[in-house]
Amino acid sequence: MTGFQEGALVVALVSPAVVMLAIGRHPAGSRSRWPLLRWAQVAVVAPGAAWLALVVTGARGRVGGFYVTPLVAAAGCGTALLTVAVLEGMSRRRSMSVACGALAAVGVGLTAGGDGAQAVAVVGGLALAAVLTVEGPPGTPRSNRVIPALLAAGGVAACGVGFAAVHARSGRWSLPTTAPLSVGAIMAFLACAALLAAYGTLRLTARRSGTEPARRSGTEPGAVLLAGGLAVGLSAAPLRAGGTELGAAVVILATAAVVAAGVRRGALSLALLALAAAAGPAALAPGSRLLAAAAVIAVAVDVPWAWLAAVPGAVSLVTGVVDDGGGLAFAAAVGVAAVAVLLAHGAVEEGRRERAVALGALPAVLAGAWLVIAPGTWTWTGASLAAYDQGMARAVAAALVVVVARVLAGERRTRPAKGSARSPGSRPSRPGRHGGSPAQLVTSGRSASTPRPRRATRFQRARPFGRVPSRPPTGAGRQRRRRSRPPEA
Amino acid sequence: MGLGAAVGLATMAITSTGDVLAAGVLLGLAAGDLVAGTVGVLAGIAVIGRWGSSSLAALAGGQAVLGAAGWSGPPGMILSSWAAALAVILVWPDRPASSSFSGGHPAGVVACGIFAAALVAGPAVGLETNSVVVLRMVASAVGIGVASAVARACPRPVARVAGLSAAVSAAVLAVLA
Repeated sequence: MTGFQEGALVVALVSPAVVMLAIGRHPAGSRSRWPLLRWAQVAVVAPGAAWLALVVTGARGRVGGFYVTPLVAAAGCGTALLTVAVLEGMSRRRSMSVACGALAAVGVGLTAGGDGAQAVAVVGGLALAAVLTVEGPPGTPRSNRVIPALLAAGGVAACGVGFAAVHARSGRWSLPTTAPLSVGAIMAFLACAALLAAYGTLRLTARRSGTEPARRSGTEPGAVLLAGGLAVGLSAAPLRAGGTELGAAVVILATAAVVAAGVRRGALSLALLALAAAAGPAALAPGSRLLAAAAVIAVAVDVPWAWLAAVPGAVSLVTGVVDDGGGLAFAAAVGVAAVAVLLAHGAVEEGRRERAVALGALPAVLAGAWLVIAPGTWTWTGASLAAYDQGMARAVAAALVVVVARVLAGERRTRPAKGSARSPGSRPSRPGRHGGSPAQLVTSGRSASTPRPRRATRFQRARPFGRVPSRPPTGAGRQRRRRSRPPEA
Repeated sequence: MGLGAAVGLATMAITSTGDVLAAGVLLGLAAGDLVAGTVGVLAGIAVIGRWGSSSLAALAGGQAVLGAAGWSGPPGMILSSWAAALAVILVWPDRPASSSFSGGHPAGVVACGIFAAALVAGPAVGLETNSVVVLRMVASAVGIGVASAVARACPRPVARVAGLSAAVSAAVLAVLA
């Protein structure tokens, strides 16, 4: 490893702990949490960038007592993306510290040992991260923590069983880099990955059922374990003796993925599909890694159209099926097709209730755009998608030119003449970020420099902007409106 | 997003670059319709079954060497190509869809016609530049015209069922033939 890679690994492992300690030492009497939240998110981008540098440079080797591979570095980068998204919904220092601590635990757990994944490090890191995140957001009732706790405990236990099986066969407590594992060990690691994926995506369902305020991010703290769990499964699945088939694992995981897609658990279905592909023929391995990356991005972004990140993985899987031509590959392809149809149907249904992308999901959105446009550059996946890259780059470039030109032409048409009052329809809509509809922004007096007539206010309420539903102003807005209203004659 | 997807699809079809499965997904996004996306992907599977590759460049290159897909090769393969093109034309909606993807943009019918033309008469521009360019332009114009006419004249439920059936037939013929 080069000096740059070694330095990047040190930054990736140490900076989350530094951020966690700094958040804990932040003065408790601060009037506003907003600067602390954004500072914490920016600080977590640093280890994410360090992991990204390791992925891009293809780092593989040892630094002291730590070992890194491109897959592990990608898992670290994904964990950092998820942590930034998880921080979005937090307002307490303790919660932010916990999330950063979980990031540190996963990073150290995946890399500690110096010679491949070590049992104590991996199990200990995942267990610590699970303990830190299982509590959930403040105010979560104890009854809602049972299932997440069981899933996390089951995942960590399955990981331990896997390492025990490795030890029973080879006498070592670490994952080999090339030597084959027993079928039982691989199944245990796949079960670990599946359970941690379920834990990492579980609370999204509770959030969408309306039990949480609409402003908060949909990414729960448990999502921090998603990338690490998938990395364990994707690392172990290829380590099987030549000719060994994992047909049962492929069928079970693909079926579970279809069921998850049917109940609108899109991110979980992508993760399970990735594991099913990893358990299939070797030709499907690149597609499995692309789908795993798509699952991480879907959890971090948490909007209906995030499933588009799975398109490159699906394309790579189909290519792999064509190359392999076997029955297991066909079974995986059927699963891909079913999941794709169900996810697209669910996205169309959910898309009618648009949600804004949280600011904390911006790094994940950028990563998702990179994945969709140029998946062939994700060399750690091993995917060969040169034709896809070339065509999608041209398609996106042409689409951007046309769409931007159309937007500019539309703005020029609707812009009012100088000196006239601004028409309500010309304001761009920004739903959700300030906790209310644009009508509330106007009536609250926050953005208007002069008092608006009541007639204009009623007109703005009758014509909400974009897809933001009109709501009666909150108590604070109602009070501000009462203060700013001129006395009636 | 519908306009962007339509422009992207047209660009990929005209330049014969990209992946045919990704083009199918773009068709679905441009139309704002799940059935259109499914048909697009099935048409892509038909291309893979016939040409052994999901690359649009391979599709164009194969047609440049062996002849246009619509009249060269085994009868089953010719039928598969025409069925795929017909399916793509049939599923285009006659009015914008109501989904959040803002699909069904009127400009998408142009992309739809160009994509369908590329499936049956889209050889790569090589040595015989003039004739190939004329062929592709004529085929694209015919494809756009037929797509517009079908979108206006054919009832949408009938067109969707027919399109889906044609797409499945195309995929089955390409895989089995």
